[in-house]
Amino acid sequence: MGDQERPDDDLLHGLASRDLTSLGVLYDRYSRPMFALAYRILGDGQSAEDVVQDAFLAAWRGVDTFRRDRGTVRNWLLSITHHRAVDVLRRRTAFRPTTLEAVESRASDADTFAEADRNVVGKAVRQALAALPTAQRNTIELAYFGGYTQSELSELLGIPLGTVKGRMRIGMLKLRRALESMR
Amino acid sequence: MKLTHDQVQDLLEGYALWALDGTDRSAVEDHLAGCEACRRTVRELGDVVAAIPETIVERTPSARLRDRVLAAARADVARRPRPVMSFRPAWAVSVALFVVALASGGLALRAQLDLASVRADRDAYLAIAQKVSEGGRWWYMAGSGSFDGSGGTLIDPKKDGQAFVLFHDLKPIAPDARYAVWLIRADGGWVRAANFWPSADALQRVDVPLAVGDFVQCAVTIETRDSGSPQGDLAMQSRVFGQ
Repeated sequence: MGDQERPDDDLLHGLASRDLTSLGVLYDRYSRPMFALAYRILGDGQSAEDVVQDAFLAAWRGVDTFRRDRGTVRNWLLSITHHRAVDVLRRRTAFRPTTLEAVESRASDADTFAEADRNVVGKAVRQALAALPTAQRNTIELAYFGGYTQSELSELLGIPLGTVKGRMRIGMLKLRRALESMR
Repeated sequence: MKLTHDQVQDLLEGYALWALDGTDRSAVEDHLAGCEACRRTVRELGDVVAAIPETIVERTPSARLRDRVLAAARADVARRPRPVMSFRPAWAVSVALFVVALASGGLALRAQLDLASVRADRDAYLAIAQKVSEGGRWWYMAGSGSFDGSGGTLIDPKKDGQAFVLFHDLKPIAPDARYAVWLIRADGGWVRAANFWPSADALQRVDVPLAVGDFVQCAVTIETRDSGSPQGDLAMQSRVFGQ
């Protein structure tokens, strides 16, 4: 078996023993979705690459924190990437859109989503998101991709905090049911 | 800030989406440490959140990023050798101290300061580690970088005692900074457990007012704020409990 065919668990064992080859294979396997996610959140390639580098280094240092029973290696790496990208975004307070009009384009990246339809899982999730009422979908996308906290969304959208929470709750519940029905 | 179960349930979707401010996130994480029902909900919501990035198309970063990542990892190996792989006197001192701490119920540690002179050899260390593995749980955090030589052991007493960290050789920090103790969950989430300032004593005890059972690792950073996510330099970090 060549390095590129090694299972994720084997690569994580490699990381634990400080094996750079294992890290390289993980990079080859997951850098593209990680970069895409960071780019989607931050909107520029340089910052997105910095986040991806930071995320891989965090995985390299914290490989022991991965738990197989909590999800896949892919999801773990994407979760690290998401959290770090959002943290970077939040530190750019002065550059963040502060009106709904300014962020709406970011919340509905039609070209990107159309491309994602080529991926079966992506298509299914996209359809589940698209099936949500616009208000619920926007709330979830602005939080996840826009890095807005619930309090910030309340201010941005001009609605009570309880409404933001309610939209998130119902939207997430519908997404969960939709995803369960696919399995 | 202490939240009720109902208040936390109201925040779990925002928590899963990383859409809470630092204060709310810390309060939720405090609650999660002791609430299996909420942890289960968070895991279920996590499955939903994990699906969201599947909606976007993959992009290829620049070719040089791969080299940057590998170079950073290579430099990290040189800068941060794995603490458990080599025996260090400071480690032995701390292990010996917390065995005493466990035996005395975690109390009266000040009376044990003379044990700072203890030096155990490898055989003694192994015997101590074996003894500890049959008692309370523990993590050792080794200082790195400019904090090399300092360290601390998080001790979770076997019985109902409060968890605490026994630090040794803490370095002085800037007047407007504080040490922050973090507990790290398996999913990589960091929960601030305590803030403190170095006492200048050789040993310093810091209580951890959290149930540490659901955490797998701990760390210490230097922060300028009392709350919020980790922003400052990493001073020390443990391996995962039990490994």
